[in-house]
Amino acid sequence: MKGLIEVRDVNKSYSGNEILKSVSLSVHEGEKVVMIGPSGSGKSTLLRCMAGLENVNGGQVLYKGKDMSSRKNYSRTEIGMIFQSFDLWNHLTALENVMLAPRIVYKDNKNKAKADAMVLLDKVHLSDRANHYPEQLSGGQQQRIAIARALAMHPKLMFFDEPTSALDPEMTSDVLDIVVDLAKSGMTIVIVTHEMEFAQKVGDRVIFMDNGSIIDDLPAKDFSLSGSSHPRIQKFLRQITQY
Amino acid sequence: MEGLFNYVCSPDFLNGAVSTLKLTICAQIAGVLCGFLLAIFRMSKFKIFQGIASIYIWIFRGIPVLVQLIFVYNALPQFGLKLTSFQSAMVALTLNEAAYMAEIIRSGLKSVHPGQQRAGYVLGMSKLQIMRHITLPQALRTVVPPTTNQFIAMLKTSSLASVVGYGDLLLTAQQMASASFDYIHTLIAAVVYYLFFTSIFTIAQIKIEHHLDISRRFDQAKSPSLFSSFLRQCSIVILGGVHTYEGINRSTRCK
Repeated sequence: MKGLIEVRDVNKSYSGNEILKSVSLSVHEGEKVVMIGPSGSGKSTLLRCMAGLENVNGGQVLYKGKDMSSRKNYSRTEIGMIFQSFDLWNHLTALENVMLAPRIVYKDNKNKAKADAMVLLDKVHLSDRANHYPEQLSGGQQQRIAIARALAMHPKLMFFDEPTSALDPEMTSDVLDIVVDLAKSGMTIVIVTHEMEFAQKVGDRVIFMDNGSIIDDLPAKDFSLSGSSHPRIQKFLRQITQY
Repeated sequence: MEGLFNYVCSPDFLNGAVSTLKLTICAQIAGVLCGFLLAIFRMSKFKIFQGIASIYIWIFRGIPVLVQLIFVYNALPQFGLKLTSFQSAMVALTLNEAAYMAEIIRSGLKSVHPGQQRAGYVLGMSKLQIMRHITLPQALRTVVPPTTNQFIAMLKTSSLASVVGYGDLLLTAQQMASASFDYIHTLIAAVVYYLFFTSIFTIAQIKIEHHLDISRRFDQAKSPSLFSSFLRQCSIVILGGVHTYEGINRSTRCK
């Protein structure tokens, strides 16, 4: 079975530093893949390569079987991406943030864009904050608006790069609730996170990365101290559950 | 006093005021446009464009405007390019202004966090759309205060055009004085116009800044009154005016 997005023997290095070493991975439509690993293991870089934000130095990234190194082979709008830093546009309100891209990329008229945006804001439980500017919103609210903004383009798959790393626990659960809703709706999701319980709850598969390589690729339910036999994973899990 | 009033209201001074305003506005707008182009060049990833912009800024920021002006008016005809006094002043002031505006606009564009543009890119916007809808509106907030400064400096620098025979406020004052020997009233009449225009620009700046400042839009209580903003801006203009006359020590506020 062919994957929606396929990574084949990808190498990536920054100024001589090898970040990804011949990584291969396939993600099927509707699948929820969680990437876990220590800092600097290359998981964010892999995600950025898969999202078409970085050119690879070797190997290929295929989207629907076509090489992503050529921008002609895929539409940017099919791939939604959420960053750790939210990146809401500061000069626009929450509603305008969600409306802008459909307005200028899809040439939606104002009323349609506004109606669609209000539905999405309602979906992330923030319709009452439509006219607030980003600096008036908490981090968790900003991240949920960012998710609504990405969904406004009707992406086929969503990438999340540590969406909750800048948030406190309460805000984290607000954001993760939205991701869970999204997962239930059948969206293809690849997420880099440090939230273990969430990974097991939402993920179909867990990819464990270390030092630029995928060390293990296993069903989410098996990703635990008792389930995984890999010594590196054992060590990682022991460390993060220590306190 | 009545003599001053007569001068201020005379058709000659009205003409001079219109000429000064025309040159100031045209040269400033052209300067902003050329400056924007230069800023894009300087931020280009191609070394050749960076080089062109750097050399341009080095030359035109390094030569006094008056020298540039006289060169355009008196030296270019020897190369077969004869310009009127207005055209000469336009060319010299624009070329000089572009060098300053390039740095102001570049600092404004760089003040926008790269994540803002990245967010536009992942949503499928083109580079041009990102510039138009995301980068420029945010850069404006940084760019407007120093640009108004430049605008007011331009109003004053435009008086240099009288040297090449452009009928602005200063030349009008000098011509009227040479007829009547009433230097005091003719020069004060010119000053009245200069201060009047400066005041209008300053009020416009406060209005524009207020419009662009989002935090003030939802926090009206914090915003100072128009009058106190005006006084603050006036003090900056008057104190800064001493240095800005020659256009060499103009403050390019980089954030």
